[in-house]
Amino acid sequence: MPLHLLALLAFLASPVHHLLGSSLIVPHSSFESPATAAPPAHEPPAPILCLRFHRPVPRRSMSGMYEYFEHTADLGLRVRAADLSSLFVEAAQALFAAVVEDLASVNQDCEVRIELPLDDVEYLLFDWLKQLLLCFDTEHLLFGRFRVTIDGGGLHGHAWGEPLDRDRHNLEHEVKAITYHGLNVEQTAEGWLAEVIVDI
Amino acid sequence: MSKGSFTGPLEKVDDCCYRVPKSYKEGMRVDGLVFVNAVLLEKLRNDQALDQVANVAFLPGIQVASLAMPDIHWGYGFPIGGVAATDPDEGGVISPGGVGYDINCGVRLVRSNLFYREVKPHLQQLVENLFRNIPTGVGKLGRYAFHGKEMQRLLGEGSSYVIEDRNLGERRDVEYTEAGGYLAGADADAVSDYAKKRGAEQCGTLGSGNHFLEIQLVDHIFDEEAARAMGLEKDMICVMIHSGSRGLGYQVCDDALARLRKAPEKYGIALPDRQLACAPINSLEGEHYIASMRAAANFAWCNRQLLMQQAREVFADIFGRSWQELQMNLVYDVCHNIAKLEEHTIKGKKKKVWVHRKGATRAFPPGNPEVPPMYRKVGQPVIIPGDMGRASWVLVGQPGSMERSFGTTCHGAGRAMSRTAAVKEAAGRRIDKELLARGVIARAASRKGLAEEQPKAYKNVDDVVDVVHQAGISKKVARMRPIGVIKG
Repeated sequence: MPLHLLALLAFLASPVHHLLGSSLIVPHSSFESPATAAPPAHEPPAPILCLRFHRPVPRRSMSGMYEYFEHTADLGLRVRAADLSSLFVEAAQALFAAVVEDLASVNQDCEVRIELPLDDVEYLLFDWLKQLLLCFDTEHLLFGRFRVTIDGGGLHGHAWGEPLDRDRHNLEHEVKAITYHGLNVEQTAEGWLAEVIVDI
Repeated sequence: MSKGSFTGPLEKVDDCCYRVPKSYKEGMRVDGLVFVNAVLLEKLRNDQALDQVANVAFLPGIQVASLAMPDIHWGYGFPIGGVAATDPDEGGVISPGGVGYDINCGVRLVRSNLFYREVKPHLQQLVENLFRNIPTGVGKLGRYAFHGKEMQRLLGEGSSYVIEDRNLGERRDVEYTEAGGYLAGADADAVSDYAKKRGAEQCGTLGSGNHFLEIQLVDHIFDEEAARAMGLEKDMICVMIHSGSRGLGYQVCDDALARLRKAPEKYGIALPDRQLACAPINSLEGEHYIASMRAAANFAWCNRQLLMQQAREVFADIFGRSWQELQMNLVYDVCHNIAKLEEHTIKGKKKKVWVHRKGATRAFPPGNPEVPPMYRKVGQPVIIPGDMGRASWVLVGQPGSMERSFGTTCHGAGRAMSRTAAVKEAAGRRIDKELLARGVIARAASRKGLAEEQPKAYKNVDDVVDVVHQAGISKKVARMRPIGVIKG
């Protein structure tokens, strides 16, 4: 059985899949002024995820609007983008560029969809990255390309990648978790800036 | 977020203790006390670690002071090296950030009857076989799997489950493990399916980051009596293992922090950092976290037990004798990311408090009933991993720890350089070759990992140990020198 089919079967048997259709939508909160955005009204709701495999699509060029900033024990990701959706895309690129040595070595054979209800923008970024990391940790999927739309209905995310193949993918860091310490998303004169520290 | 250096007040208490006074930040309930000497103090102001000491002092119910050990460095929420005791009867809280993602990350030391001269000719092969047989690095799955009921039992029973049910070790091992390798009150049902899934095939894997397995030799004995009690002699070969609860523990912490997002607001707790999210010990949220954290701690002990067992088998294979014949006995296993309910005397009164140790090790003195009988006369063994080029240490707890630090000492060398700075610094160098020149054979799953973990990235562990020794919270027993290293 091909490896990706095994991964799909494992995924369908996973608790992630069982969450399908159980998403919760929280009241709309403002993205324009994250500093004053209302805190989430309840525990973070379950995301919707689904996975499908398809023919490879061309890789997007890695423009890399992210950098790693110094943190003594762990790793800081600093991301800049013109708009909020691109910020989330760049943050995901930064996360996986820390996990795998060469992001360009990741084929785009499968797609994962992540749906998150609206939340405080910082928590939304946190949850987006956390869900991607969870897919890697539980389903062993690596991602190299992302698309995010954020609207009144929440975050609609797509991630393209493939199951981990140790012959082709050199892994660099074990990211244990995304942390809340210093978690920051802000609008700047040039667009948006996010800072996230991940536990190594 | 300010990433600048600490500019707040720092007052000298004595030669190895400095105070961040309560007046530094409005909202601090107690002072911050940091165990450092003048040597280590120099670089301490460079990052946010001292600010984090002050932040921890905001936690409701905190007793005496927000403490930090000499290996203190900038973490998330708590500083690494942070210690805080909270009293449930004074509205005390439990904070997952005071334990960390890697719940019950810890160290164990295994002795043997082998000496350096016998091992030296086989060292290359030994390191190679350890690296090949013990899963290391990101996402590497182990040879053991625990699903369904097996995972429930592992989380509920700790080390003794894998020893008795899977025959992976001996009964004696649990007696030489902190808390007997098991925390009562663990609830496997409080651990999410995600967490169980992340951990199902990771028990018996080393992981990445600063985790390691080292072949060490006893370089110098400082306390003959304590060393004898531990079966340590000069030039003896030992194995030191540093790992924790792997993906299961990370997920337990992650789940708890998500559940606690609203807790500070609900319970009216003002916090300067979201990573310090907490809930009263006597609350549903608090109790749920404690039950899941204990289960993750039990997982970590099983992980280190299986790592030890795999190392024992490699030694047995290379030397053609069983590990029992090689007397590869566990000296002790300590956790350094944990929160535990312990009895301490505070202002002359005995109290049960929750001691959070985030990168800090329990160091109970001689006579303490929680120290196993074979060590009760000398004190609880404390295993301090250093960097992979210089040294590691074996200490014992001292009475000063009960008086000054809630029975706690340091946990390692502590980072001196960020990961990014260490990689930059290592550009164009071959860290493995440099280590070889120092007599250390190192194998790592990632070259970048080796650069990040290079000896220079750490403080000198000897300086750290000098402080805890001088402060009377623990005592030097033996200095260990690495000769073989496997890393993630």
